[in-house]
Amino acid sequence: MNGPFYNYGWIGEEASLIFAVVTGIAFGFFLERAGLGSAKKLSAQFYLRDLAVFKMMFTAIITAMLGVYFLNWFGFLQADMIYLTPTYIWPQLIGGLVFGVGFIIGGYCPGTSCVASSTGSLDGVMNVIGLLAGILLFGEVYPWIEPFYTAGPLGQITIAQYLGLPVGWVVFGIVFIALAGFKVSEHLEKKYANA
Amino acid sequence: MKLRLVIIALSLAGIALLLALLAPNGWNNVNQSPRFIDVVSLAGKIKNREKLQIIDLRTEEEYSEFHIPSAINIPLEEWGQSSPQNNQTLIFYSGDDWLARQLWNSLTDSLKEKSFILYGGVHDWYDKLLYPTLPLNAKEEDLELSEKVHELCKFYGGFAEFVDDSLLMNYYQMNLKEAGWPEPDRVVGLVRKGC
Repeated sequence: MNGPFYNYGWIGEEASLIFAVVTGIAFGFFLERAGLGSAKKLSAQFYLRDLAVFKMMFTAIITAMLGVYFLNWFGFLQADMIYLTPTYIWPQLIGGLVFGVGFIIGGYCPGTSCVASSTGSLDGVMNVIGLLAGILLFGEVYPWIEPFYTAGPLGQITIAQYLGLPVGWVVFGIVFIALAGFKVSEHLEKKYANA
Repeated sequence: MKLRLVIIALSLAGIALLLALLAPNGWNNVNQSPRFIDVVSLAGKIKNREKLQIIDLRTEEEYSEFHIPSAINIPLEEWGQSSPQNNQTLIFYSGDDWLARQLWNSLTDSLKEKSFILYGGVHDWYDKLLYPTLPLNAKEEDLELSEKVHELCKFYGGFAEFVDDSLLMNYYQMNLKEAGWPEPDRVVGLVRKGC
């Protein structure tokens, strides 16, 4: 049985939605258990006092990346069948900037605002309302911003494809960068703990 | 940062690096791209009555509705029971190459040496050869190929549409030796009619 299961027809539309719900529940559960439902903990990373978010997210990235790589290598998963969000340089650069500003102002990212809301946090609820309002506003102004929204298209491209390197090399590089990042983050946390 | 986890992560990353160097196409070359043939080349070979065995891997119903001229129908699940025993070159196709991809992974090395996969399957035969959209004022370097496609289109009973878009010839000039499996066009449900 090869994956992705949806692409190979092992599961249909309905089953894939059930998978999505289960995965979403698990994601929210572990985010909350990791303490990422707290605006204080989330915004502390921007002051370099507590980089748990950085460490958690990067750990998840390298775990999934290694899993996908080895499953693909053994032929259990066709990695080139996995959907990739297309890359559009300029809107994603600006969007990331806006996202970062919103994150530090609101204290939550979209996912963690839902996590916080689920625990009854009022500021989480306000973040979710702001998020939905922003989505609605985007939908209304889209006809005017569409040229910018599709600026700098690179297609569905991976880092390995962009750099022209074998995937295994990129995997090694990213793991190395992640571990170095963890080491640096611990140093920064000690330095700015009481800042 | 726990040393044991660092060692595990670096070890896995190191193994990924080694695998990328020693076996870039995966376990038993499972991820090696197949030998593709484009619709224009295949159309030319059929027209010239070259000795080929074209095999449609879809169901009998889909084959009856439409198939490539001179193709025989061996549904994927029946492959092995009724596979051709002659030494002719084999050309496999399905809808969007889904079934062809599954078949390719199961072929022996000796069979792969005399086999090709029709890039884009019957859908590309239909959209790119039988009813192609060609550039109205093709560039000089594209003119010969554009006229060849148009001639083959008329030979097989189709008709071409002409629009003012010089990028339309990019598909016909793709280097299939470097191509990966084509992305299926999900119009309705999992794939377009026939996988």
